Amino acid sequence: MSEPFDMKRFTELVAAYGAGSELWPEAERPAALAFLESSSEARALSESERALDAALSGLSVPEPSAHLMRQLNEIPLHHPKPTQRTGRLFRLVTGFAWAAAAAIGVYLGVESSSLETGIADADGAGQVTPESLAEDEIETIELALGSVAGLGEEP
Amino acid sequence: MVAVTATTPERDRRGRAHDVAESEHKELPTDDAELVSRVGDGDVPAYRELVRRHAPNLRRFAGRLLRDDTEAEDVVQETFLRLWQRAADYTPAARVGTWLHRIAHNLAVDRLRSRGRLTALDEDEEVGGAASARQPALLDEKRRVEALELALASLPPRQGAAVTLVHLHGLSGTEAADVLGVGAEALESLLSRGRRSLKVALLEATKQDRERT
Repeated sequence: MSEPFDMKRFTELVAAYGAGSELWPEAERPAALAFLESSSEARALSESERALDAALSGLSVPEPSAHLMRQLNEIPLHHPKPTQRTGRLFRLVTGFAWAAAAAIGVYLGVESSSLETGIADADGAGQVTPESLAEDEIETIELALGSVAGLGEEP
Repeated sequence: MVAVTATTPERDRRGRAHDVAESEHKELPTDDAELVSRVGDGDVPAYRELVRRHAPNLRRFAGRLLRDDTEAEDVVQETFLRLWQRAADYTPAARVGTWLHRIAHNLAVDRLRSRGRLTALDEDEEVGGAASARQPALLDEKRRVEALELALASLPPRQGAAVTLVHLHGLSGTEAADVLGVGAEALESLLSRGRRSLKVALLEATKQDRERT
């Protein structure tokens, strides 16, 4: 539902868009046309804009230079693009790479925290009890402790 | 609409075949969005058809904003390079022409910003003194076109761009506001001031013609 129209708004509309209703904002067009029908002042104002509208519509678009058109047409020659299939493949491979990196990051994070817990436990400072650990976690801790213990040994 | 066909696959100067879609002997669609979709698949004739359709308007638009032929041509080239490389980014929410104008506008603004000339867009000098609502008339066609072109070129860049988009390139107010990154009210203000200046310029030209005769 459009707002009721007055001369002030009609003046603004015509000053911006000209007399041709096809350029008026769609939402306001029906009300503006109804107002135009009903107001001689609005019709006179609209008429006063027609000369400029006609002059503007008489302007033709200048042709771009031959040099520019040649440069534009040669863009595909100088900037080969990946085909859509290659692009999809690239995105797929990139996606897998990121996913793998994230998984490795998570794994290393878990391993690192297990190691810390294991060391702390070995020192007697940790609160973790063997009952609270899953078998594979215990195995990881044992392996890690073995590695840590092995660091100071002579070969 | 002119049907454009490709005769051979695109090759560069060294004779390498580029990875472009086979599109020989296919008629090109009238719909710009369909052409952009084909450009996304590497269809060179579709790309060149879009160049044919939109380069003149984009060149004029960039010229209004930058007021420099070389820079305007550079912006048009960058715009079409984006089209060629990023056609897949296009969403049919906007018309292709609007999308391309927006890219060109953003590139032009980036250039002005990097050269510290962004404020030039907002230079808002009125052309030709006080506005008059009188109807400019009695100019012969050639003289009127010359006067109008001159007046358009003299408008502050944003006003000139707004008038160009709506009154010369046929964008709706909403589309033009979107391209210029302004609200509906701001766009109307740009258009009103631009049109007022153009009317004054036409009136001045009419006066000068009368004085000569």
